[in-house]
Amino acid sequence: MRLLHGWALHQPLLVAYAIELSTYPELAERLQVRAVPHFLLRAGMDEETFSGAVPEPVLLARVANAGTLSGDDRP
Amino acid sequence: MLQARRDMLAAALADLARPVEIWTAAERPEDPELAQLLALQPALSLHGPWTPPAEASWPADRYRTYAMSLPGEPIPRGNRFIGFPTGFSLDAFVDELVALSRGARLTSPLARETLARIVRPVTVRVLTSPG
Repeated sequence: MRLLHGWALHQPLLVAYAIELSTYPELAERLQVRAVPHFLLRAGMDEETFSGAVPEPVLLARVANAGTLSGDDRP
Repeated sequence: MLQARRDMLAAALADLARPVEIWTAAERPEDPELAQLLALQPALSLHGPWTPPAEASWPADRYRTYAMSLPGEPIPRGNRFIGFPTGFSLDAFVDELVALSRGARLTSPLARETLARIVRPVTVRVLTSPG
């Protein structure tokens, strides 16, 4: 999480949440979390979910790609 | 809180390099762990409530939301914690407080270049159970 929060502190368009599941187990049930960490990326109407340890370059690319315009939005 | 636990937290918080502000997104909750942190480290201060971007599925009044910032910076920016610093997540929260105070932003040149591609708001939620 420190990595994501560091990126979020650097990039104003990025907000990173760390959510503690043992405090809110109902979220695990509602979101059908089967493994941790469980990632939810959302940008506009687009959403992506994935779980497990993700290498930093892969996570960085996924976050950045989510923040680029989708094909429908490009001029 | 056991004295040994308090001593460990105090030792960790002693590494705080400069003041850090902790923001809550609700009226000051009765949060004994947060109160302990504030009592152990005078360089920590509590602020708020602030209004994070509204999302119906994550109401701040139900899921307590916290953020950290450095004095004088846009407040609060970029980071959010839901469920922290209670219980098992206390160590992780303290770790981030110290890292923020030391400027450990973990933005490598490659990360900064990659993050510059972002042109629309992105929210990343990481659901975890700190060990």
